[in-house]
Amino acid sequence: MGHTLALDQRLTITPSRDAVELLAATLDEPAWLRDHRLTALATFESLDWPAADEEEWRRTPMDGVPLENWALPQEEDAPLPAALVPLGGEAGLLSHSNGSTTTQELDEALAAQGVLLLPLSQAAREYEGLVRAHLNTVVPIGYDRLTALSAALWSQGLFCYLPRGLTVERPFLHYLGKRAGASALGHTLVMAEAGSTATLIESCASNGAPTSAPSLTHHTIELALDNAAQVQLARIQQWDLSTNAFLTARARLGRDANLLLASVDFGARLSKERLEIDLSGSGSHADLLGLFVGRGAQHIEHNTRQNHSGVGGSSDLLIKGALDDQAAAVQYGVIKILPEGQKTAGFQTMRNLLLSEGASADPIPVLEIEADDVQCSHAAAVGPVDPDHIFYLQSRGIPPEPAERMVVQGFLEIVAQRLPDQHLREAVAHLIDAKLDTPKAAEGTEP
Amino acid sequence: MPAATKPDIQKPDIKKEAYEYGFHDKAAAAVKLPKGLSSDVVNTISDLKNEPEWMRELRLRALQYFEQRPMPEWGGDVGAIDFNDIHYFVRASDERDEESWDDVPEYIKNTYDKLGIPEAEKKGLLAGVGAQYDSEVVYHNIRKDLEAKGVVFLSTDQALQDHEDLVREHFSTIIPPNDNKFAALNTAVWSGGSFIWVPEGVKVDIPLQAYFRINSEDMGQFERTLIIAEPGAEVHYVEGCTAPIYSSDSLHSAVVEIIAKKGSNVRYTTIQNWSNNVYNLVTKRAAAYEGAVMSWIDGNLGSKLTMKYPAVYLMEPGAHGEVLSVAFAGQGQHQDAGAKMVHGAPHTSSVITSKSLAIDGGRTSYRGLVKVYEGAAGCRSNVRCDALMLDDQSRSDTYPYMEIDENRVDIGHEATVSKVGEEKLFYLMSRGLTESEATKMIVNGFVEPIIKELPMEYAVELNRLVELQMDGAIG
Repeated sequence: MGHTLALDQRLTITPSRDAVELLAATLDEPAWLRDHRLTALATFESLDWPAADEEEWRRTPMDGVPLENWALPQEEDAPLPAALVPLGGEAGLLSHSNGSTTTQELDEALAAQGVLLLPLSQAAREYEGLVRAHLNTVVPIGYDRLTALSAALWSQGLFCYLPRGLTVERPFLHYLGKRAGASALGHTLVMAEAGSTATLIESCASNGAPTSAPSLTHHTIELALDNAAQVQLARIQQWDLSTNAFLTARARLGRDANLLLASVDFGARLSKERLEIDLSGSGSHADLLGLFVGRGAQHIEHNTRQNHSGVGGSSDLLIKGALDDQAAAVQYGVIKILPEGQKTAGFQTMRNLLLSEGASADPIPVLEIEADDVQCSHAAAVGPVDPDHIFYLQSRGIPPEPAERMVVQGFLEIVAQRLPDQHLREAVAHLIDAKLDTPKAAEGTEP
Repeated sequence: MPAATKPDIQKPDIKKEAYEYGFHDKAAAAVKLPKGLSSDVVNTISDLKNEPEWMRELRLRALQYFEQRPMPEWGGDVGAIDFNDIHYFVRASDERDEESWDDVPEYIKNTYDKLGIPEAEKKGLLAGVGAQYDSEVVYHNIRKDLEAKGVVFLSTDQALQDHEDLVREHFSTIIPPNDNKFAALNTAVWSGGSFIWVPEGVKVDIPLQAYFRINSEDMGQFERTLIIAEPGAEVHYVEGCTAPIYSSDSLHSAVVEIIAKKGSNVRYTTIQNWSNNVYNLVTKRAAAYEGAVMSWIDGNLGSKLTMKYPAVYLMEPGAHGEVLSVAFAGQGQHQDAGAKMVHGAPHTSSVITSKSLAIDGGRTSYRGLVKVYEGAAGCRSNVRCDALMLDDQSRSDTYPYMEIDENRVDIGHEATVSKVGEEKLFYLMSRGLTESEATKMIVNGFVEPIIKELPMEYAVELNRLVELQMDGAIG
C-alpha cells in the first residue's frame, strides 16, 4: 500500500505499522531496524500503561499527561532553541531539532582512530553488526510501555562508539531541540570498549512558549561499559513547561568500569527520570548525580536503582534540589545488593530545600541488602534554608534575600561541582540563577 | 613466639538453639468454637461475652470489611494463612478473672511459672499483672493504691461490662474497623487484651504489665488493647509475648489503640518472642494531643512473619512521638517492622530509632513513614535505622517513606547496613575475648540504645533472648 499516510498521521505520533514504516523509510533505515521497531510496536500493543498503584508510579501525577495523539514537530520548526547549553571546544557535536539531524561533526583525528558519533539510524545502516548486537540490550524493549513506544518510534537517535583503550579528552555534545507543544522520542546508545574514556553532554530545550496542550517526550539512554571503561554522561533538561518529560537511562558496567551519570533538571511540567546502574563487573564504580530547581507547579521525580551483583563494586548517589512556589519532588531510590555482591559499598543522599510554603518533597531511599560484607548507608532530608546560615550571613552585612540566594547556590553547588567540564559547570551555575530569578507568573499556575 | 598476626576470622558456625519457651500445656479449653469464620461465629463470640448490641453490630460490620478487603501485597508473604483453619475463640476456663494467683488453674500456672510472672509480681516491681491465657484474662491483680487513684486496669472484655460508656466512647476511634484487613479481622473476633484508663493528673509510677500467650494449636489470638490517658496522666504499659511451638502456623492479629490527651505521657513496651510459626500482624496506633508524649518501645525477636508499624498521630501542637525498635530475624523469619509518624499539627516532633539484626537466613525490613501535612510548620522528625548483618545468608531492607508537604520543617533520615566489623573483633580478641564473646559484645553494644530504655527486668529478658539467639548462631 506504500507509505502514504492520512493527514492526522502526519501531525501526530501514531503507534501504527504505517507510522513505523514511514519513519524507518524517512530515516533511511535498514530492514533489520524497521523489523526491530515493529517488534517494539507489537510489545507496545501488548502492554498496559504502568498502573497507578505501582510503587514507582504511585507518586507520579499522570493527570494531564497525554497518552495518545502526540503532536509531531513540523518542518518549519527547525531552528535550534537558544536555551541549549553552549560548550565550546567539544570533540564532536550532534544536533537534533524537531526530529531531524541538523548538525553532525566529529574531530577528524578521533574519527581516524575509529571513534563513532552519528545518528543512530545511520549507524544501524553503516555499522549493522555493532548496533544490532547492542540496541535494546541494556534497556529491553519491554521494560515498560513507554520504552516500547520509544523503541518503535524514536526519531532522535545517537550512537557513540569508543574503541578499545582510547581516551577522548574533550566532551561530545548532543543537542535535542523541539518546539513547545511537540512530542519527541529519542534514543542514545553509548558503547565504550575496554579501557576507553569519554564524556557526553546532552542538552535539551524547547522553542517557543508553553502551549495549552501538553506534550510527551521519552528518551532512552543505554550505556554499555566494557572492562575499565570510564564514561561521564550529563544531561541538562530545559524543556518548556507544557512538556511531560520521561527518561529511562540504564547502564551496564564491566569489571573496574567507572560511570558518572548526572541529570540536571530545570524544565518540563513533569519530569520523571529512571536512572538504573547494573554494577555487575567486579570493582566497578558509579556516581549518580541529580540537581534540580523546581518552580511553579513543576513535578520533578527521580527513580533510581543501584544494583550490585559484582564483588567489590561501589556506588554513590547524590540528589539535591531546591523547590519554590508549589513545586514538588519525589526521589524513590533503591540500593539493591544481591547475595554475590560482597565487599560492596553503596551510598545514597537525597536533600531537598523547600523555599516556599507550597513546595513539597518525598525522598524515599530504599535499601535491599542480601550480602553481609557491605557498607551501605543512606540519608534523606527535607527542610527550609537553615535560619542559622541566613543569620550568619546577615551578621556579615548581607541582607536576608541575597543571603538566602547564597545559601541555595551553595547547597546546589555541591552537586554542580561534580559535573564534568568547566564550561558545563559555569553554564549550570548561570541556569540555576536564571531559574531562581524567573518571575512566578512565567512558571505557569497549572496545578 | 610467632609474630602477632591478625587471626583468621571464621564465619560463625550457625545452628539453631531449641526454642527456649517451647513447652506447652495440654490445652483443656472450656469453650472452643469450631475452626472458621462466619457471622455465626461472630454472633456466638458476642453472645458468650454477653456484649451490648452496639459491639455486636461493630463486629459484624468489621467482618464485612474483612471479607471485602484484599490481602496486602506488600511487606511479608501472608499468602499461606488459611483463615478457615483457625479457631477464632477459645476460653481457657469458665472461671474468669480470678482474684488471686492461688485460684488460677494449675496447668495455667505452670505455663506462667516458667515465664517468672509470680516472682515478678511478688517482688512488687510491677504495678499490676494481667496474664492473658488464650483468649481471656484469667488472672488479674492491681495494687490497691492504684485502685484508690481511680486507675482502671481490666481485661477489655471486663471493661466493656463494667465501664461500657468509657469503652464505647473510645473503642475503634483511633483504628477504624476498616483500617486494614487484619484490623477488621481483629474488630470482628477480638477477645481479651487490656483496657487502661488513667484519670486526669494521675501518674502511675511503676509499669503495668501483661503477658500474652498462644497455647492452643491453630488458635488465632486477637487481643484488643485500649489505653486512655486523661490530661496530665502518666502510664507505662508493658506487654511481653512468648508462645509454645506448634507444627502448624498460628495467627496473632492484635489491635492496640492509645489516646494520649493533653500533657499526658504514655509509653507502651512490647517484647514479642512468638515461636517461629506465628504470623504476627498487628495494628498499633496512638493519637497524641497538645504537649503529650507518646512512645512505643518495640522488640521483635520471634514469629515467622511480623508486620507491625506502631504509629503516632501528632494531633496538636507540642505533641511528641517516639518509636524505638529492635528486630532480630533468624532462620525462616521475616521481621517487617517499622514506625509511622503523622505530623498533623505545627510544632510537633518525632524520633524513630530502629536497630535490626539478621542472621542465619533471616530477613529484617524497616518500613516507615514520616508524613507532614501542609500547615504543620515547625515540625521536627529524625529517623535513624541501623542494620547489622551477621552472615552472608541473611537480608536487610530499609523502606523509609517520607511525605513532606510543608517547608518550615526539619526532617532527616539516616540508615546504615553493615556487618560486625573485623577491626572491632580483632581489637576485642586481642584483649583476650573469644570470637563468640567478642561478637556478642558488639551485638549487645549495637542494641544498647533500645535496651537501656526498657524496665530493668525486661532489659534482662531481652538481653537474655538476644544472647540465646546468638548462642544458637555463634555458639
